[in-house]
Amino acid sequence: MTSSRRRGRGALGVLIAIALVDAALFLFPPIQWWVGSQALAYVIGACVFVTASLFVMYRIDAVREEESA
Amino acid sequence: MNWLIGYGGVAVLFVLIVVVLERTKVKHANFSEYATGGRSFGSFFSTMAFVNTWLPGTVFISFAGYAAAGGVIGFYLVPYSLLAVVMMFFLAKPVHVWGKRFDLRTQADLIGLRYNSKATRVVAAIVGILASFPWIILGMQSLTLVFAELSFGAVSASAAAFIGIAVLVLRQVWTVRFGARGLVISDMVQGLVAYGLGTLVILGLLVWMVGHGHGLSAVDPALMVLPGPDSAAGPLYFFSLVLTGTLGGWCWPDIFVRLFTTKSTSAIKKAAVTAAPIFLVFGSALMLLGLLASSMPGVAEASDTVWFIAASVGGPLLLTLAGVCVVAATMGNVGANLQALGAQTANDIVGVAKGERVSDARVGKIAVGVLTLIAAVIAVATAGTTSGLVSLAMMSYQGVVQLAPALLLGIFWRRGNAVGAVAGMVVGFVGAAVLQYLYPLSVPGLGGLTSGVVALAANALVYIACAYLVPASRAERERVDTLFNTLNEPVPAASDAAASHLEVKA
Repeated sequence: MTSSRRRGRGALGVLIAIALVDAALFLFPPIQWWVGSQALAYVIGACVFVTASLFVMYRIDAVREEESA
Repeated sequence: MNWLIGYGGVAVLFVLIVVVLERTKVKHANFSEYATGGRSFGSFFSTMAFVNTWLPGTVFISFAGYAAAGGVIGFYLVPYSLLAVVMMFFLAKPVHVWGKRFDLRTQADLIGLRYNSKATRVVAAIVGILASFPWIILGMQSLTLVFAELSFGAVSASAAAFIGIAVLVLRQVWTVRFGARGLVISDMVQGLVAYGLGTLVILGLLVWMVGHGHGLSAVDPALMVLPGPDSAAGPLYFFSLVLTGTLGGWCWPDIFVRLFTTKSTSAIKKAAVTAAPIFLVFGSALMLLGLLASSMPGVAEASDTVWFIAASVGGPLLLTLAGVCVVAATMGNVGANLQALGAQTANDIVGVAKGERVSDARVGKIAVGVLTLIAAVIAVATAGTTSGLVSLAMMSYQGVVQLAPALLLGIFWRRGNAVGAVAGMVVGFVGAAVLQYLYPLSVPGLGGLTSGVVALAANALVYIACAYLVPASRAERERVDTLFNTLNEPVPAASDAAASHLEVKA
């Protein structure tokens, strides 16, 4: 496997990892049980995190596409 | 005379949209162009088309009302919208590449290609149409509140219902004529009004509320927590709402087809990144408005009117702007739904029955027109009795998510087959319908899991079991491998799609 393909697969792995973290933030119920009366801060804070992660994903994907071209 | 301001504002929006549409119209070359807008739109138009289709007008009414009555749980719209955007990132390449290479027009078309099965394609089309249709009728009726409020007492609720239905039906004249291209262009105008102007209105109201004793400290503490282990809704209720919204969102035919109207994979990803901040800012601000407004007089008694109660502090002009935002959002969602269902009816039911790929745009126009008339008749006939329809709509959301295993697993996993797809969809849809009828809130004894999530689990198990227990033939495995391998090849021009040995079964 060439080094660019290895980097491409590595970047894909990072994208999937970010997506899994995003999903866990809202789909792992113990987090919601734990936040208690700070639920509003949790929801808004987690939404900001997911939004920011999308920009990171976009950047990683753009670099990955450039290297594979 | 305030009703002149109210109704005049709606008229100005309507004329603006029609002028933009008439000045940008093009002649449809064929059915594919009618259904997908020629796959020609860049990220800016695609962003607004996605957002205007994703957020219905009732986001200002029932969603904001849920935040006012239920508290923080009402914010669930924002998490599931953002997670759906994360999914959009991964869906972009396979859906766009296959769509362009094989001239796919609808969601059911893609399912038919993936499983090489007319049965799967038709079942998916029927599930999508049955699940979406109640939402079209509810959308037509949702403007009842708007036209009643904007009349400032001059029009009765029943008359307002008919006015709202008439306005939306009239708007569909341009949906029928211009298809997906017209929808994407009008979504840009409608989106800027609904979410651009809407966000400004919301921010202004938030400042007013905080300055007039309706800040966070005035909110009932019971509204500031999510359902936990000791709650009536159950500890898994929030999880169920977010999961259903995230997966179910992509199962709506009108949302999915947005991926076909965009000109490239990179444009879809850019649209995703652009849509996310809109969901975050607009969605969070609107839900926060609902939450803060829970302490305003009249909201507790009629939480669905929270948007208008809050806007009324600014007099007729602000109330008109608030109403226009709802109309703009509703137009986008209802129009997209009708166009997608019409295209799906023509392409995946009529086309399959006739054994041919539909090529004439007129077939699509007739289908959209007929569905519009049927929806209008039912909307008028049920204008005074919406409770049953709301229950049907809630049931339909649990039903449409049952497309998820066949659709989403099928896009990313080579092993799934047609048997599992059909069996899973049927088990899931019937199971969700029965469970939702018996347990409208959540299934007892399962910690708050909703009917859709329980049925989805059974659906996915059937799909995965069939993948291993009913193995595909060698020829089918090779076909699927070839299909997935096309994702790494340059996409040919659409005219070369017919030359591919991989085709959608007509």
